[in-house]
Amino acid sequence: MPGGNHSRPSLFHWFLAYIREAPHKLRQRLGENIILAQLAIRSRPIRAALMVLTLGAGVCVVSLSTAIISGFSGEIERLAFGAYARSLVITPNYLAGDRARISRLTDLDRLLEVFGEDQVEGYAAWRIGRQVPAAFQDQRADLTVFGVRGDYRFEADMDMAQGRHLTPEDMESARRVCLLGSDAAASLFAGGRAAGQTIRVNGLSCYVQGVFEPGDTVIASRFADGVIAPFDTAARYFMPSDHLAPNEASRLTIVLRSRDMLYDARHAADRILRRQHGVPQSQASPFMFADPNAPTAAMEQQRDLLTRLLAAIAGVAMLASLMAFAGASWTLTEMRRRNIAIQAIHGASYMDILIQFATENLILGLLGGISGIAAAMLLAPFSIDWLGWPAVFDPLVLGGSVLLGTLSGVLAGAISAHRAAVTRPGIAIAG
Amino acid sequence: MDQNAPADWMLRVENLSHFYGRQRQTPSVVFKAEQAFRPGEITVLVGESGSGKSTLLKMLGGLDCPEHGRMQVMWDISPDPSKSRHQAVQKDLPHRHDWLAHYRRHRVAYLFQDGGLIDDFSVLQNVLLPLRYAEIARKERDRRCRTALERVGLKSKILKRLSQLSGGERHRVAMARTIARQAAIVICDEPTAALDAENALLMRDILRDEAGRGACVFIATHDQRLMTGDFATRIIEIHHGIAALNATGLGPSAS
Repeated sequence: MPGGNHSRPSLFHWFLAYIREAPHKLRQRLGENIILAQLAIRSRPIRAALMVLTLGAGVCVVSLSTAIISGFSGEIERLAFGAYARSLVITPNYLAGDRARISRLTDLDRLLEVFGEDQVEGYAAWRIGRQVPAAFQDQRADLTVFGVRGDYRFEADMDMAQGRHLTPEDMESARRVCLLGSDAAASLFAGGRAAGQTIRVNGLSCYVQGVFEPGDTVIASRFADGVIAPFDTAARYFMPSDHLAPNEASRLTIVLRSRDMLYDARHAADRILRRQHGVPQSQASPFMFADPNAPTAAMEQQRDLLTRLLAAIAGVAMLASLMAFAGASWTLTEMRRRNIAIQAIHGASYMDILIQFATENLILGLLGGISGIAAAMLLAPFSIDWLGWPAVFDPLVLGGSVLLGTLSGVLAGAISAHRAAVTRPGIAIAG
Repeated sequence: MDQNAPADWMLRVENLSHFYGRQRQTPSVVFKAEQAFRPGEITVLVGESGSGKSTLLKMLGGLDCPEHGRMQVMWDISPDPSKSRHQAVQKDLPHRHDWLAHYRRHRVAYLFQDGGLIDDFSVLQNVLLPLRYAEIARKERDRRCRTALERVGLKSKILKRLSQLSGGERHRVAMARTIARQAAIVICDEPTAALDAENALLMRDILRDEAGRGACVFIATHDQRLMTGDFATRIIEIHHGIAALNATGLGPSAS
């Protein structure tokens, strides 16, 4: 029956034949196949290294891109607004004309009471004045005064270059202490030490408790040429001509725990404040509620665009890397055709060869994944320092990248492994 | 003595034939009738180039499937070539590919004209290779390797890579591998063709030793020195793929 003689057994058939072996024999053969895979890799170290680098390059691009996307995700929001993105910011609605109202500290207390701690992460009442003259010895500058009660650090999200923050006791008092923005300190002290000095603000002495680093968010940068002082200090000493009453604030900021709470919180705040100020629903609201969602959404669109761009680049790089790996694996298999035949002649079955080649590809893939991650982590500081791209490595992503590299290696080498395994020894040995 | 008596033979072949080409009408090699080969026999296949010696060796060594016929190695009978893999699996019979892989793994040792060595491996790894697949215990195979390499004078080069060896030394590695294998059937394709006088003599001695151990040795050769009655047990001439038994005087190993 000439026709049936060349029919090739299926993978399943070989697998069955392989596992039908006695367990100790199976273990021994499996061990031998793995040893032979290691020998094959070690006998061609340069080629193996090149294959590892090929796959590693792809994994590096993927993991670095993922880290940058992850970094940007948080950084875009932070760079733009910091905690402002989830803050309910209440200001007078001057568009309502004489029905506009100024928020009071009691309004803040009432809102905090209604929202409760499960919704509110922090709060601040701001009193923002016009620029006032400030001086230190013969240096003079016009600075914006910010009076604050509560936690100013959600908005003034900056490290201290000198000195320390205002304490809660400072905030509740009318002590003449202040913090200076980076530009304000530079204009009054010209690079000298400002913390611990006494400056004159609006003609009155004020002890400088600390100086901020330059802010890297849009909101924080507002404080660069400003003086931050306790609410009562600012109201009593530094803003005498201000038209606000002592308990009135230019702006209330309530930092919510999540952006998802903003919509409901805004409507609740509107109802409460209308009641507090006796403004019916039929009239325009006396207050404005800033909507940080709109600019944040724009930022998110940019981030998504960037994500797609980076994902496309990473995908193409990974595909190219996989094709190169598969090509190299294929070529290497063809080059080893005679060796495979020799192995088959000496008793290697289809499964033996398949397992050996799969193990080789598994090892190379694993090494490719690990080297790709290592390269990405080495490159990450350069991306942050030179290009200003933040990179955040998630352990899950790192593990996924190694897995991706390993699986890619095995899959890319699977065809060549199969080809190697079905090599007919009689033909292959003849050349 | 009946040479086909079951207790007396190691390998028995029955109408082996193999086809080349797409038409598969004219067999390239036919081993007519039934032949039995006893332990310790050295069978030399002679014939012109292209006559089919190597094809017959490949069939005897399990490298190629015969299109027709059967081989029986002691109690192992090769599966019927006409049975498909599905029929084999359904009847829980060994498929011929399994049988051939098992046959190669446990019964056969090969010696090629060019050595048939893996250049990337060391001397030791090359000698070890068939023993790995034959599932021989680690201590035993190490002992066999060292003994075999000592026999061919390469014990001091056990860890050298093949690229560091001369042509003659590479042939000795191949011989050591055959010795270490201790197979029931030894297949040699032009074993002395590329050897100098010293190595050719060593090769003859080794093949004679293998037969003396009880192996069934098959040699395809043009070397007249291997066709002498004091070496070969029988000579089979092949003309255009047809094998004809030409019994010579019994060699010393068979006697």
